[in-house]
Amino acid sequence: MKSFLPYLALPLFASTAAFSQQAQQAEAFLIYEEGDVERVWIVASTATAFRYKTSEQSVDTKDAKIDDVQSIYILDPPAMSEAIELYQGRKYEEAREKLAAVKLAFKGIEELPDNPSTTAGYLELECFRKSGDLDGLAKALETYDKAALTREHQLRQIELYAMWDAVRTKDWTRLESICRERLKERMPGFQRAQIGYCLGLALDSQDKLIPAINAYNIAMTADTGASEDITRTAALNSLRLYQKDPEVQTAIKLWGTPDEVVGSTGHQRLLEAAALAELFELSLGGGTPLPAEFKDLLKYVKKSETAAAPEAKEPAPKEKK
Amino acid sequence: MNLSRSTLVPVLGIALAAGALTAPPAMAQLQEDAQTLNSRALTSMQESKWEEALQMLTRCVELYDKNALTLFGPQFGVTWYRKGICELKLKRWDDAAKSFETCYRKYPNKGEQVEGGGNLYNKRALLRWGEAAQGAENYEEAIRMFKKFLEERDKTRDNFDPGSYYINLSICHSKINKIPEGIEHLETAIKNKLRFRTPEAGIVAAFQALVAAVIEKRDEKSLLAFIDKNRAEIVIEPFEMEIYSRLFLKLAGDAIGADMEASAIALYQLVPSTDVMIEDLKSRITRIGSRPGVQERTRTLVKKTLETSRENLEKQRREGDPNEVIQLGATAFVHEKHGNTRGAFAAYEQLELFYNKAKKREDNLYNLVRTSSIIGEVMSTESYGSLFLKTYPDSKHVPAVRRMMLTSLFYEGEYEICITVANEMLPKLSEGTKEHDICLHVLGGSYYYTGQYDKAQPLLDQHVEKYPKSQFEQAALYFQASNLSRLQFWAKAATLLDAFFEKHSDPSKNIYYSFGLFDRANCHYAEEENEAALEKLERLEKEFPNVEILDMAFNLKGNVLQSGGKRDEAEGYYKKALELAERRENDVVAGESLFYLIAMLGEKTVGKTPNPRVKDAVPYADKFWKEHGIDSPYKTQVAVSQVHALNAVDRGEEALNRLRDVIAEMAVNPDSRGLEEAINSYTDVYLEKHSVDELKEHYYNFPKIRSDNKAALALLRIAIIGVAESELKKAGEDKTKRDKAEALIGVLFRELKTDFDPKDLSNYILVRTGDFLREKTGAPRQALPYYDEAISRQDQSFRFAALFGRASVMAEGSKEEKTKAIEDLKRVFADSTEKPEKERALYGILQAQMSSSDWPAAEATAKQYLSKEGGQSYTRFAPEVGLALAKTYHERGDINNALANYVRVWNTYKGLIRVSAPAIKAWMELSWQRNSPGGGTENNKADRQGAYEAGWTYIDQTRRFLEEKMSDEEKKVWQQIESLVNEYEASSDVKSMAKLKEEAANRK
Repeated sequence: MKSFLPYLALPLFASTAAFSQQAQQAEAFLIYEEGDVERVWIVASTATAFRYKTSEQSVDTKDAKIDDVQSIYILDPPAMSEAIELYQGRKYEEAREKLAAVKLAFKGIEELPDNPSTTAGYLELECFRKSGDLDGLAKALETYDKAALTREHQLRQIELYAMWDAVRTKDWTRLESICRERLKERMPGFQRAQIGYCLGLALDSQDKLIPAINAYNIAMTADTGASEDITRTAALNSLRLYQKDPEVQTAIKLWGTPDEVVGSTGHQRLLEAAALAELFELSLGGGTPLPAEFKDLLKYVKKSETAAAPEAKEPAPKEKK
Repeated sequence: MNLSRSTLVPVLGIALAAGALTAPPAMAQLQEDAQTLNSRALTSMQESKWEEALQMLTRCVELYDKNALTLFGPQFGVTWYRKGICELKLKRWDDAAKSFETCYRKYPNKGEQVEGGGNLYNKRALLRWGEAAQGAENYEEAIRMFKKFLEERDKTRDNFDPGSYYINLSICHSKINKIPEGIEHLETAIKNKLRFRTPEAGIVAAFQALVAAVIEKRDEKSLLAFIDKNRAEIVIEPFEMEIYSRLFLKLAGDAIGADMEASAIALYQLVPSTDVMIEDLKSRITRIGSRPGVQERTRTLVKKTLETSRENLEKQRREGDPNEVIQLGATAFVHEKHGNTRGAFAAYEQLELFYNKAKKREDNLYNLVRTSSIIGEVMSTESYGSLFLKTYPDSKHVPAVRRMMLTSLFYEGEYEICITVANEMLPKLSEGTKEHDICLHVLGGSYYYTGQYDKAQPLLDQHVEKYPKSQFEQAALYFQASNLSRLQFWAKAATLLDAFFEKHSDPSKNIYYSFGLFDRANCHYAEEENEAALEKLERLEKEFPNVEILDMAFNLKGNVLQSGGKRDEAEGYYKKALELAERRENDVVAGESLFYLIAMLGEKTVGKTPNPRVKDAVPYADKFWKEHGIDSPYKTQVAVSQVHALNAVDRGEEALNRLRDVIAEMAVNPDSRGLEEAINSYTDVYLEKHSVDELKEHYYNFPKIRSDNKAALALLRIAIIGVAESELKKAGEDKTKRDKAEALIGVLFRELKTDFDPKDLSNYILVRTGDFLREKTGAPRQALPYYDEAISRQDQSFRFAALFGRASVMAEGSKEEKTKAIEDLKRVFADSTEKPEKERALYGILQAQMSSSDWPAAEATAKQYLSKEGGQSYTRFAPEVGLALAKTYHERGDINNALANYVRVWNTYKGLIRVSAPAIKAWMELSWQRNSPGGGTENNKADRQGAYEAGWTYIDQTRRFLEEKMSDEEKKVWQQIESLVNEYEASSDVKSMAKLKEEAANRK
């Protein structure tokens, strides 16, 4: 077992307000260069040192420099596991409460990499986002310190909150600009889904119907709809835009009448809208029913003959108007 | 990894550590005594040498089982249990089951010897028996054994691993398609995951079995409900997911194969992003540091396993085929299958942008081009299509991509882009290929749809000729014929349309049939064959009641009826067209119908009587401005044609203002069609209440036209000039008025010349200014910069007028300029599609050649003009051309031909003095000079006598025109003829007409 110097002699914790005696201790393994391991309970930390106990019930603590250990492997506290289960179960409100508690409880060690407080704080932000509480997100971000995050996608997500803030403030031009730039990057599908969705919102608010629907389709497909909140809203927004499209309205009016123009732009878009309504019931809605205002669209469902589609069929000539 | 047949055998520690046979048998001294065999087997088992251990245990039961109960009591059952464990490990399921059965049945803990330890595994053998039965896929038996174990086990002694137990129960139930029970046991295992220490591998195995059962029973709802209910428990942390991700993708693929797309999507959603998995793995590997692993509360993280997972994922990503490629491909499929091709496009585009090293990139990129083409994202079709062709030049999809790129652009109406792309592509394609066929068709068709009919025609003709079996054959024939009708080659278009109908006579198989009828009706109408036009339009109405162009056909029918004087019926059809166009929201046609109604009803007079219905046009005019006043292309025409109607209801000022607004609006684009007409109408209306001077003042400061809009201002100046010219005509012999008008015209043109740079003027104004300078001033060469400017532009409007103007100036110049004039005129003759223009050009060429004394060329041109070959029939300048032809012979001394042609001219056009007079004069002189004696077999007149007699008769017959109809120039020539007649009469070679009459009288 490796011995430690008595770091209590250092003024490190004695004078720092960050060291909270109220903080909950975190079970962890201290891993040393030679492969030795020590099971400890960390009670506090700064950016360079930490205080720990060698048994859970002990009242004695030891101090150590972070540089003296190869790694600190903090185990997920049970409360964190419970919160994550709620989060994975898409119960964002309940999860957020628990995460907030974990964040607070382990605040004292928030400067250690991958500590429960920072991770819980990150997931709390995600809960705000996923439950659509953008004001809550903006407020929580003000005090959030991302320094202890170790995963690239988490750090990128913190950057992406700027995009969500543009949604919150309805700064559509800025939002469109951020999204178009971000869409060029490779990133996990759940983040590309967010960008597609936000771009859709930006274009939607500028009445750019089809570009907005295209962007919403990125949102619906980027992670196969795993971001259920985004997928559902993107689908509903698209349905609303289809209904707003004058060409679709005309196609609806003419549907089944002698004047119906099969193959016209409006007719094709109406079929797309119907397909989307059907997909909403199948999957995109995440189990929520198709809102009544879109139920009528299901009347126009026409199955695609084959996904490996043939070449475009030759339409009748149309005069350029 | 094949989890389907795996069983979850718990750690064998108990079986291996305990249970030594405590009672030494009688044969203990032997090497093969039961204790030694068991002991050695145990050692082998601890070293996982299952085969070796099994041999010893088999030997043991062979030697001792018969008397084992007597010798060792129930504890010999342990040997059978151990044997079963070895067989389980070696997957000899039936043997294992038999061993466990023997352990259970033959060695129950009964009798005295139980106290010596007994059969520790008697009940536990039931559990293992179940596992063996499960391994042998005997799931019913397995379930029975598992349950029996739970019923009979000694809770104090028979410990077991509940997580694995419920997982196995779930698997067995799922395997026999008892889905609710399978779900129930799986939920027990996962809800108690922490307490039972249920392994992730077990959850995945049970989940896999459940999915398989769901797919087999098509019970999608159960799976979706399960996932929804237990999502939190079945979502595996990213760092652990690598080993299961491909399995999940496979299960999802199986679900798609079974048409269970909702399940498939739900399964795909369980697989996290590759980047997220890698980052999670990296983070944990870093935290594990130099340790081989870490034991967490409920799981053990093995660094080597994590590193292998990370390497696998990085390899997949590096090689271009991470899980996302499968997920996005499947997402595209599901969306497209349900009809949301736009969703498929989005997925394929992500595949191309972020996973373009995938093995299936060729297919993915092709599908991207294909779906973009379907949803009409033509720019994407174009750019990704180009990328595809560049990246996969030898792909089997190349022809399809080429076709889609062009055809998608074409069918989406992106004709300008089609023209650019096809023009670039066509020269690179080999004739006779399908690509060439499509490219030629699209290019011709695009020119057709953009109204560039002259460019379209040769391409359409070429397509019809080269590709009679093309997939576009029908369309090509139609475009060819229709395009000719747009070029107003009515007769030829009619012939081709009739042939088209004959070849594709079944309307149900000819999507162009109705359009052809419309075009054919148009041809009839243009050729004033109103009855035939009505017949075609009635067919269209009756046989194609739903055709897109029916509203247009109604308008055309209205036109035909109106031109035939059937105004009431025409009105009815304009109204029908309006109603239909409004119903179909076809605003352009609705606006057109309103225009026709306003124009017809709003006419000032019908024939020579005042129009009693003029006010009826007003509601239509109001409707037009209310509903179509912003976008309709008929705004100008309506503004012009509503004037009388609005005047009739005392809204003249409004009409004027409307015209003024339209002019101002159109002035932004001075080349707008109808602007000149609008200005002219405005001028007429304005002059009803204002003087010419006021008009001039008004036009020099026209409201809403900016001072830098030179082109529009110039057009207004031209309008004033037009008014001044009309004042000049009206002035007649009133010299004061004539002088005033001429002065005004001169000033206006001079101002036009000084105030406007030719580059600022529209072609129309350039030509009008040029014509004025050429025709009305003493310096016609000043017109040349105006003509040159118009000719130099891309804009083809008034091109021929400019060429004519320039040629007229040049024809009066040097020999080189004359040659240039002929070139200009030849250009008009070659390029113009208008017969009058062609005729005028040909005549101009002849004039220039005559002026250059190029007699052979002039002869050829004259003959070309007079030829009737190919149905050609030029008549407008035929007398002058005939005279010129005679002159070409005359000038070259070909007297006989000259005489023959002169006589033809003066004989045919005797009343046309300007031609007949010079012709007969030249003929008389030539005849006089030739002086042939006459007589012969045909008893011809002597030349001189003939010249005299013809001249005398001509003078006699045309004398009546002398005072009234002849110009000074004509009179002069006529009088010269008269002198010649007198001169010849005095000659001794001639017998006078008086003498001839006298002789004739005497003969009677």
